[in-house]
Amino acid sequence: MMILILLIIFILLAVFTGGDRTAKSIVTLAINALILFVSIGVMYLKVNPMLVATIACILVTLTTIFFQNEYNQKSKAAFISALIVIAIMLTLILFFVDKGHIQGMPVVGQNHIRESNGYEKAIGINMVLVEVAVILMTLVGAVIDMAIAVTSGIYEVVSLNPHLNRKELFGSGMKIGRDILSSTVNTLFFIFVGEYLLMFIVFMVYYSFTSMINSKEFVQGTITILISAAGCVLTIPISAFIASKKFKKKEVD
Amino acid sequence: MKITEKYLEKGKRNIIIRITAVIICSVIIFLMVYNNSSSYSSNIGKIQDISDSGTTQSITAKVQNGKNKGKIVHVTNKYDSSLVYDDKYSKGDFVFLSNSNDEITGAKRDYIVVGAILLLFGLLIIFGGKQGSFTCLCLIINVAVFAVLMNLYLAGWDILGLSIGASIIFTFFVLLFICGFKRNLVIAFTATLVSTCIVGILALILIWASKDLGYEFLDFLPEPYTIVQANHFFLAQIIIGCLGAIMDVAVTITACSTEIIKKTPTINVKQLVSSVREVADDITGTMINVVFFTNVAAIIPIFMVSMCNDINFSTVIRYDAYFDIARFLTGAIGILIAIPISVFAASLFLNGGKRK
Repeated sequence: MMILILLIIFILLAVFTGGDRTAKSIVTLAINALILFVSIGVMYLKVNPMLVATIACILVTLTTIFFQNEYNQKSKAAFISALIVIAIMLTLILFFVDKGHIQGMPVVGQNHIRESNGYEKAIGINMVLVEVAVILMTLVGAVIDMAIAVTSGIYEVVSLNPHLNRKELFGSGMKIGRDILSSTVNTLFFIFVGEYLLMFIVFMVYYSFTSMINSKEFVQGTITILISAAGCVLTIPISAFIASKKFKKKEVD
Repeated sequence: MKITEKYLEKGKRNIIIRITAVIICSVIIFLMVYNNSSSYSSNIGKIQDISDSGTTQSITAKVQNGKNKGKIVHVTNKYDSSLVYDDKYSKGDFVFLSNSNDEITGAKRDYIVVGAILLLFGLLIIFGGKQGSFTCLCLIINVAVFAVLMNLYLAGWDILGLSIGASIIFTFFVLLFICGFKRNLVIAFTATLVSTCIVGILALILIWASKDLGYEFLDFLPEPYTIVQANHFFLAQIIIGCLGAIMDVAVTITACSTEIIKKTPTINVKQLVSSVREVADDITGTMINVVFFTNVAAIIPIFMVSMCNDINFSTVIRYDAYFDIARFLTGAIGILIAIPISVFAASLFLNGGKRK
């Protein structure tokens, strides 16, 4: 009931207060939600979750960049940068999930999915790879956001100042990225705090700080958000580099 | 020409110094946490050797702290290959041991968290420049404010009141770091608070109007709880959760409106709204995606375990994913509401200032 009303308010606001592209973003969102849910279904069919998530991420990047922002030089550069960042982050995510043992269901705080409630634990799906999938899917939105901001910023700069060389373009790309960095990292931070507010309370009331920072629940959430933010930062130099190279090469031809 | 070269040389040297400093500091901090076993009162072992047979691991570990420090102990660990609740250990892992050193009670994960924090801070300082360092500082302050909030909660304060108070402080510090002490700070601050207030009131009405919220599916809700308490917790989550996105929009729109008003002082509100709408159009689509994936991706493991236990997809959506989806939608609504409110705030403040 509550979700339905929120959804209606959201769609009405998007259609009436925003412009064409905001209305379009409802379609993008619907496609992305569909990609997420279909990939959950495919993972359930025992296909390797990491592979599914990687393909899903590429599809999400494709829709968000090319459908939402049209097919042009800017979006091509953003797409390549996003893919490079996703590939780099994938290895980092694997490392952190494996070393941190953060896979699977929380032991504290989850009140109904428990072995004692008759939930079978031998589900035949590797939860380590599912956790990798979770972090990858969390990361993708923020990386795309940053990649688009930097590449279209550089494109704007190039069209206004065609005489700038590659190095100067790279510099202005870095500046554009840095300007929005803080607010993007904060967006992620507050979503994380909102999501895990109750977890902090449970640990502070019933456990201790040291048991919290070593717990699977806390480390799952923290690693997810830290890796997403790190991916966001890494996107700045990578997309500045790709975009400055791409737009300048065209200039020489 | 020479001056620019010199400048670039100097810039390059600065970057190298900065990177070296960041790496050295990170390594020192990481090693300190990696070897902090003696600060724990529970026994910690470092795994020396493992032999697997099927899904049982025979583990040889060396005790790292307490009176048995240096002693070699043998423990076994059983796990299921899906690892839904269990852990599979490998050589070099630190684990907590029971008092008699005959059982593993959990993995030691603190150094992993610290490693990830150092990774983020390192990247922020190396690639983020001045703004990156400010972001680090801002995050540290926010965590400190949050720690105060937690302590006041433990002292018996109401969580909803605390979250609203903390949100105002959070907003002030974040915007101070982004905008600096300028008029934009006042505009973005007002716009953020008004927008958050509207989202909060909307959520409040909907939460109190719906009597069938399945709070047993809200993870980590401390038990026992009354409905009013649960409502307060949920609303607190929503308010804090949408804060970041609303600030993001408020900052962008304020900066853009200020720029437009400065360049064309004769502009009226209607024209201003239509120019800003272009910019808003550019950012809303991707921002809504960020909020969607950050809120909803964490639900994937619950889907896996539930669906493998014959609970169908729509049931999981209706109960388990309910709160995550509600948080996403309030965040998205926050983004859309923040746009007109920021434009309005900007036009009000800037025109008012000029008339004087």
